Order: sequence, then structure tokens, then C-alpha cells
Amino acid sequence: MSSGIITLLALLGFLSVVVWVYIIKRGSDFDAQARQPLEDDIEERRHLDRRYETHSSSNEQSHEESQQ
Amino acid sequence: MNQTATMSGSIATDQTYNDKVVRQFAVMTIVWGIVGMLVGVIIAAQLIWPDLTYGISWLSYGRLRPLHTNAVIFAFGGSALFATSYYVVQRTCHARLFSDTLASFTFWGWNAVIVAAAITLPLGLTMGKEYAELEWPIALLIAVVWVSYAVVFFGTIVKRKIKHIYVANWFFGAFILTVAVLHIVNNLAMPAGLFKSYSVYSGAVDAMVQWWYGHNAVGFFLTAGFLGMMYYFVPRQANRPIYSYRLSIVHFWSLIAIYMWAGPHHLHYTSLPDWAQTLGMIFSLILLAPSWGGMINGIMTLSGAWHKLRTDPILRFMIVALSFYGMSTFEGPMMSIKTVNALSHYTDWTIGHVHSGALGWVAMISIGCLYSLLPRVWGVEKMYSIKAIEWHFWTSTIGTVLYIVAMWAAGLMQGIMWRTFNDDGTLTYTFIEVLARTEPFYMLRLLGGIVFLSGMFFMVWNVYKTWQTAPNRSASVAIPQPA
Repeated sequence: MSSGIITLLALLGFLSVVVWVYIIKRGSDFDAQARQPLEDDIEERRHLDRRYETHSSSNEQSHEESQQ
Repeated sequence: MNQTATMSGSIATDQTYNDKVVRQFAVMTIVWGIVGMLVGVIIAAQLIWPDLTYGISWLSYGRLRPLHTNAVIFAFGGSALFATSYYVVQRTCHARLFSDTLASFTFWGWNAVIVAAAITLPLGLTMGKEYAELEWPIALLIAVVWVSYAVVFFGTIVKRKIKHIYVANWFFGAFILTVAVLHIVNNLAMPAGLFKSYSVYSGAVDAMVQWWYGHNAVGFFLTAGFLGMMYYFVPRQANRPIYSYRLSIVHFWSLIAIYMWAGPHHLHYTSLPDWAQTLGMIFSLILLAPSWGGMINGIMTLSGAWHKLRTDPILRFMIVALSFYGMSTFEGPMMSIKTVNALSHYTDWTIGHVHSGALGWVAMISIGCLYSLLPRVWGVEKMYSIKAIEWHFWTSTIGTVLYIVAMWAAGLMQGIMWRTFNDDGTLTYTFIEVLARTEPFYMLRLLGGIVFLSGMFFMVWNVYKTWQTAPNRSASVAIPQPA
């Protein structure tokens, strides 16, 4: 009996996650989240360029490499 | 140091990411990977030539085998997880690690554990629990390091500047939390001297606790953590957003809810109660759904960017890893079916299944992620040689395929020969007859292992050249500030 209740609660728990994710939450929020590794990458690449600029000695070589 | 100082300039340390610990763990991933795989190659050869190590007891198969498993899972896989989780949690939280001191302690502590394992296991000091062999003083150190890891990771989550906790961090978080619980519960033991202890469990309960630990080590250490890597590095490398963020949330909750119950499939046809065996089988079968949901989510992230596979071997590493993940998570549930298990259990099929996951999924996703991560933490755009990555990709893929094909064939043959009876009910084949027929497959497996290991040397050279030619390799990266 009690194990049946627990199984039912687990099922309801799973279904509520599905309902929350697919029906209640707005899709646009998730679209923004799905892009997070990319936003981060753009940010880092910009930083990478800045880093090269501040180091004039090995600057040219590394720029060549990054353009290959 | 000098460079860091000049680079940071007016930027305070807490305005930058802590990439030092990431670099340390990333480099040690490669070192321990080679050590662990080399020991694997040695024991594969020992199965063909038992006298290979001249009967020296501390180089015997029984002592080197746990060294191999510990080295590849905890030293290689563990270092890869530390490196990537520290990297990802900072980037996706826009926050520096919670504590530099504690992060540094996790690096030195974890490596001390590995060195201690490399000394004690060949000496024959073991608790005798598979994948949890290390004696109680080392197990205690693991617990302390792991709790520190949890503090650093969750502390960083708490001080995050981004409201949402990115899905990769959910997977890393579940992995850290669950491994802490698994490790502590399974290692409860009564010490009897410095190098000897007795488990608090006994009999079938001990077996059940051991495989509750063992299978969740697969589920959380070798799966959830690496899925965390996948959810960050695959989108970044493909330059495409995750195929479905909604699916990733359902993937997470269903995976962690179901994995916990699948352990008993390791104990089919033993003295474990029959209902527990059946429960393990059913949960293993259900597990196919979240596993494939995750795999599809990863692979479909490439939709619209498939052409990149032609030119980018790093992406190819990741996608082939996901394909092996899909294969082994189909194979696993199938092998957990009791009638299939009656054939496969105790044969080399199991070893083949494990390595399809370990080489194909865990090692290849780690290698792919490292190639994506390393140039960035040394401040360069990409690895020194894309050609060498290409070579590494093919040696890894061919090595894995050779290995698992050899073990599938050996396993099926063994299972069928072992269950062949004469009319009078006696066994048709003796054990030694089966073993003799297995030898060619062991040769093929050894070759697969050597080919896979050889690829790691392309990586060493490539990583060294990347490091050597990085103009400003210890510079710290500034945390993006809200505009």
C-alpha cells in the first residue's frame, strides 16, 4: 500500500516537472539560457583580443595563428 | 606571476577567474590518463602472458587491475571533472571560485590520494570493494577533499552574478553531492590497524551497498559529471545553442531519479532477493529514456551545423563520444534483462560494455573538452596543431572499436560455450578450453588498447606546443561586468 503511494507521488513529481517546463515556463526564458555557453564564449574571445593588444612583443605572431 | 600582475593591472584578483587550478587539473588529466591507460595495456598483456612481470607479487594482475580502474576513473576522469567543473561554474556564474585556498587544497589533496593509491594498491592493501579499494586512511582523505570540492563548487554557485543556474552546473552539482554520499556510506568500516579495516556491512547487504555505490559511481561520477561537460562544451564548440533547454531539465530530473535504483543488476542470480534483482532490471530498462533523451539533446545541438564535423576534430570527438554514450546506454539496459544477463554475466561482454562507455564516452568527451578548454586557459585561440587532434581522434576511435568488438565476440563465445551441456548433463567445454579460444580476442583487445594509448602522445606533444607558444599563458581572465 505505502509503496504504491510513493510510486504515485514519484510519478506526480515527474509529471509536474514536465508540466512546469513545457507549459508553465515561458519559452523565451529557456532560449536565453540555451545560449549561455555562447554568450560566454563571445565575451572571452573579445577578452582574448584585448590580451593580445596589450602584449605587443608576441602580438603579431599570435594574431596570425588565430587567423589561420 | 609577473605576467599575471602586469596583465591584471588595475583589475583586482576577485574580478578575475581562477584558472590556475583549472590548468593544474587539466594537465594532470593527461598525465594520469597516460598512467592509467598504460597500466590497462600491461594487464591486458598479462591476460595473454601471465608471467609477463616475472611473478613479482606487486606487479601481479590482481594488484594492478584495481590500480588501472582507480587511475582511469578517479585520477584521469576525476581530474577532468575537477578541471571542467571549476571552469564551467565560474564562466556560467560570472564569479571567481568561492575560495582559492580550498580549490588549491582539492588539487593537492586529490593528487595525494592518487599517489597513495598508486603505492598501496600494488602492495596489496585493499578493502576489497570494487572501485572502492582504498584503505580507510585514504578513504578519509577522499571524504575531506570531496567535501572541500562541494564547498568550493556550491560556494561559487551561491555568489553567482547570473540569476539562472545553467544546466551543466545542475549535473556537476548532482555528481558532487551524490558521490559524497555514496563514498561515505559505502566506506563505513571499523579500522583494525593503520592498513586494515572491516566493512560495517556483511553478506547480501554488503553486496547490495557495494553495488548501490558501484552503479551510482557509473551513473553520477562517469555519467552526470560528463553530461555537465557535454552541456557546456558541445554548444560552445558547435557555436549553437542547446537543442532543447526544456529537454535538458527533464533529462536531469529523470536521470538522477532513476539511476539510484539500477544497482541490483550487478547482482543477478546471486543471493540478493529476487524482487530486488527484478527491481534493478526494471529501473535499468526505464533508464534508457533519460539516457537517450540526453544523447539526442547533445547530438541535435549540431542541427544546422553538421558541416562543422568535417573540419573540426574537437567537435567530432564530442559527437562520437555521444554516439558511444548512446550505444552503451542501450547495451546496458539490454544486459540488465535477466535472461540476457544469464548469458553475458561474468563474460568479457561486460568488459566490452564498460570500455564502450569508458573509452568511447568518458575518455573521448574529456579529451574533446580539454582541447576546447586548454587553449582558452592559456590565452590562445586554439590548439597548436589541428592535424594532431585529427590523428588523436582516429586513434581513439579505432582503438575503442577494436577493443569493444574483441570483447563482444569473446563474451558471446564464452557465454555460449559455458552453457553448452552434454546429454548426460556434464559441461561440454572445460574452463581452460574456453580460455584458450579467448586468446586471439585478447590479442585484438591489447592492440585496441595500445592504439588508444598511442593517441594520448599526440595530445601530449600538441598540448606542450600550445603551452610553449602561448604568449601570455598565465594571464588571468577578467569576469564580465554588468554594463
